[in-house]
Amino acid sequence: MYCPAQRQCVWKGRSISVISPPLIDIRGLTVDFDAGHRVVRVLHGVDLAIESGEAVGLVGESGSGKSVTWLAALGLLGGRARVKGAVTFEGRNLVGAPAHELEAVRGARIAMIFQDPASSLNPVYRIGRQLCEALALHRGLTGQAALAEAARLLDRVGIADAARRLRDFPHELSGGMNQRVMIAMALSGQPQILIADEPTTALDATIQAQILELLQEIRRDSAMALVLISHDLGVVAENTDRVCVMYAGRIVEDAPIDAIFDRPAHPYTSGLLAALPELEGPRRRLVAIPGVVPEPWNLPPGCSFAPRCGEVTAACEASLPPTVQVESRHRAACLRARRPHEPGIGA
Amino acid sequence: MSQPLLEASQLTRHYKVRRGGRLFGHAATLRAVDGVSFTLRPGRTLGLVGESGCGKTTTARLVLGLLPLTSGEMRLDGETLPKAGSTRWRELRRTVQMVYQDPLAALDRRIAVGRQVMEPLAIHGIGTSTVERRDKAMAILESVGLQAHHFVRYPHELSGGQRQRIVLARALILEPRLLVCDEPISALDVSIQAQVVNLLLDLQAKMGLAYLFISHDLRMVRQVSHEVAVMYLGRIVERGDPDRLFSAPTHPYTQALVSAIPVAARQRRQRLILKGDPPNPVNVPTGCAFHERCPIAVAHCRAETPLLRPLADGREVACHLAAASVGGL
Repeated sequence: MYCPAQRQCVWKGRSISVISPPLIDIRGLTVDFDAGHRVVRVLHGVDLAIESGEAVGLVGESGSGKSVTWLAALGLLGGRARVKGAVTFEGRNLVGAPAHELEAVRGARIAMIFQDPASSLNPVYRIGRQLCEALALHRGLTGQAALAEAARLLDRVGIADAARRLRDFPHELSGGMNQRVMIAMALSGQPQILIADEPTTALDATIQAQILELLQEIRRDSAMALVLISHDLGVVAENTDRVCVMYAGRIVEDAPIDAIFDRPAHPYTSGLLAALPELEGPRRRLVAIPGVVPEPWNLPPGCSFAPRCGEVTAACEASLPPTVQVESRHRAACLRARRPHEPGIGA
Repeated sequence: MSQPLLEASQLTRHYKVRRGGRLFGHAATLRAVDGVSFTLRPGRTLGLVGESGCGKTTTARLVLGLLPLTSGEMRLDGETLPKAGSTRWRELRRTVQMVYQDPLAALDRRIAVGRQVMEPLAIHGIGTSTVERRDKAMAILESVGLQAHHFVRYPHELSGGQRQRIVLARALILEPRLLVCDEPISALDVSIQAQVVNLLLDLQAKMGLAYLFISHDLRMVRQVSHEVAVMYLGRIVERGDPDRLFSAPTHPYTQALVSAIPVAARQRRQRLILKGDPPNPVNVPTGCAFHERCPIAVAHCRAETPLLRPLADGREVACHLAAASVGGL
């Protein structure tokens, strides 16, 4: 179990009773994609610190940079991406780190699972072999020891009759079962952070509930940090303590779950909340956010949300709004978010 | 009550398959849709929910005549739908149009969207000149919230929400009375979903359209529907008013489905988590198809298939234990 005090974060030098430095600290992360005829910036300086044992949700529309942030941090973007900034993990900067150093971290200390389990697993190998491969890579286990550990992991993720299931191919398992196998594989390196990128989007509602419950259970038992990337605010609200809302390659708001729902500081966050229908209570007309997300090569000069924002001012269109601290653990990148009694920082 | 627009009774679609997927496996029957009945009135929306493989999309394709019925009957305006492909069928079919999940896949990328919106008019021989059809297409583009300059664009030049509006315009240009929407918003971003849902509601109010709205998103279904039917393995297990159905579901499967929805407001609820996956539709359990996953199943559930029967509040449910399980669990 983790101590609540440890979860509090340092943000831009502000000390908030923190015991240890954050588990992973992303600072000023930018990503440019070289499209041949032009260079497009898709990530505009992301700052994000995560404590051990913390569960953080990353919410945003497609193309907002939720996945790219983590792919860039782990050096998984390939040759056409230029990554700048710093990602400090266990005292080392992962950006620009040599391959052998990254390989010691990727999959082992920081594991990642993706949306579609069927396309992450190799269809022509039995799942036992794929699990043993991960165990050999991350823990140096081979032979019977690896098989026994693979069976234990399958059992851990709630697959009955694990020893026999090791001989199954991915197509013999359902989508939910395959996602459990992916989680087992992610756990094989005993990671400190699990990054779950839309882990339940491809699954049915009742199976989604099973997988999210499993992730919660693993997190309670192992004090592992969880980053849950999702477009669904509901999924994030139920499974994390804190949420970062991303828009057009920036974190526009970062706050504890309750604060996001009770007093959203960024108009995009409140817009997202108003656009969601309820399951209970009176039905009301949805308030849609007008317009569309701007293309990354065609961003407005000021705030990226300004063209769709209902509270836009001339200042919003002139320059980029700085990220300001709204409350102790609540920050937002909006000119209107600043509280009069609290001087903004980071300007 | 107005005259029903579409009456579907005991729609059934079975497939002959080989068990085990092998060439010499035993012949078996996959019951994709197994006796589904419903009525749709003008200006009303029936929401169809359920997990993948439960037969939602097959039902939609049966309604559109894209798949032949194994058995059952469909009546449009009181008239039994004739054989698919016949002249009369084509005339009737004009009044039933479709909106697909992925607008980019539903549109032809090499043709300007305006021409694609005009195409149904040519197919059905409506309007005599291109100018006339063009004017009609322009008018319909405007009614779905697009502008004249979008007429000459290609699908890749438009955003996801605009593409879905084009698909809608193409369906609406024939002035249909029933629109079958199969997951019309699932491929769109959250902030765009609300735009399209509001547009669908506005069009319904303006044109008196009936919708068969298929989605796995229960919150959106509640938002648009006048009636909701929950499907499990090819059958309707519960049907009724969306507010009552979602606030107090009666069938154990509906209860699990509703409880699986993550709620944005952070209220701690007791979540009902089902064990296992939905069974293979080739191998439907005997009795109630849900009994293997049902937390309250009794021996009787294994023996006899429950039929859809009305409850006191006007809802219909196919569960032996329904009356006893209200508010329970």
